[in-house]
Amino acid sequence: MAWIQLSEESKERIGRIIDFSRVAVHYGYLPLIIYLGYTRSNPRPSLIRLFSPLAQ
Amino acid sequence: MAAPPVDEKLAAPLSTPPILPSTLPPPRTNRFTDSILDVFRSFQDRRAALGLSNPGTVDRIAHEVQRDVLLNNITFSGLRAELNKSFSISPLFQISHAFSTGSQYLSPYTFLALYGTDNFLCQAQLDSDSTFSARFNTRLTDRLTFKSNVQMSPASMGGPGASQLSLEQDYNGADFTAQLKSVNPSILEGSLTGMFIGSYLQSITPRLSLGLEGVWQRPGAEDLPNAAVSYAARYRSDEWIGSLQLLTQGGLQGSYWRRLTDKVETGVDVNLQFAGLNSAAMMGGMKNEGLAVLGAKYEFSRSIFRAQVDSQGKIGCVLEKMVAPLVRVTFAGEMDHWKNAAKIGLAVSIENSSEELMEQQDKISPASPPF
Repeated sequence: MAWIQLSEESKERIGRIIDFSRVAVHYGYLPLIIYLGYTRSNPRPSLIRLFSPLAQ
Repeated sequence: MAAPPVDEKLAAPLSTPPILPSTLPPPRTNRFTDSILDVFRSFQDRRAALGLSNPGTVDRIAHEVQRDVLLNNITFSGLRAELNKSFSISPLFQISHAFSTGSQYLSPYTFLALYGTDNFLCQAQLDSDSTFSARFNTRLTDRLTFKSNVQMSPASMGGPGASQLSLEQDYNGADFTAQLKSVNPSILEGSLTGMFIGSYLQSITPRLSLGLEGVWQRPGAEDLPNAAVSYAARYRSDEWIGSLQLLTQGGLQGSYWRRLTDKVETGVDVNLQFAGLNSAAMMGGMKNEGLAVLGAKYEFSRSIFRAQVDSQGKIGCVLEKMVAPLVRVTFAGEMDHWKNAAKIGLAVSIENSSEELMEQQDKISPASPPF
């Protein structure tokens, strides 16, 4: 398929962006969900209940 | 110059009742486009007059049997404990801890967080062996839904790390569903690679719906692309639902679901593979294969019992029981008479939510994120 010809440089750049976003999603998505839930939920939960399986 | 008709509507006195956009006569442009639009509109009107309902999607064509009655997705082995905490119902916010032992597939500890509003859903799951999976679904309009799913497992002694990205667009029309799904799409290797699945299911009559699904895949730039089409049909009568799927690789899948009483459901699922039509038959070892599964589901007031038996001599059952209002115990057992193997599983699941939330539940309607 000749309709998309990327130069080596831009390929490398896209590869780097993908690698970075992979790391960002891997380590950032779960904290983001907890932050969204913690700040927006009603009533606001206590932090200890959020993480500890045993806390009531 | 005459003002366009839309402006006249806006200039109308406020006391007149509002006119819905669908009842407005279409603005006239020229004779050629009008004639095309008129044909299109009369077609749409006739189609709406048939009163067809949305048929669901092609991959959920047999979900009454495969997901609700049969044990494929519910059975497990080993010991499991699950603790679900819900903190809020609108927006939905839940955290779940799951511990498991003695299972080949489940990792010892899994942490799951879910946040959802009416328009989007975020879910992330992290296992103790650091496998991560994430979902992000959003409802772009009330008909179009976008779903994305990421799975990542890190490099370890077992092998190199792998990651999978899948993007899915669903369009739920009044009488049809169209889906486009792409798995690991990429153009970095010089050509389009990945797997693309398109499916379309259309209601033909209120009871019958027909559809097809096409798969196009090219794992790498050096591989040749290959494509396959499968056809699907689903018939819903007042008492039973039947579905049939014909795969071009030479497979046939049929299912039949019936509600016997209001507490008992039963289903049969038959899967046949014909070697004659398959190009892979040259590799040898392929022969006509078939598997039939018969299952039943009983709903009691505080428990659900599912049992199934298949044509390869495997018997399985799952019993879910509510022990206390928020505690559920699940027992799963499976016996394979031909291979002389057995699996057994026991799970305890505890729902934990505060009293405030219980009170809220009556007042606020919970958010319904696009799952």
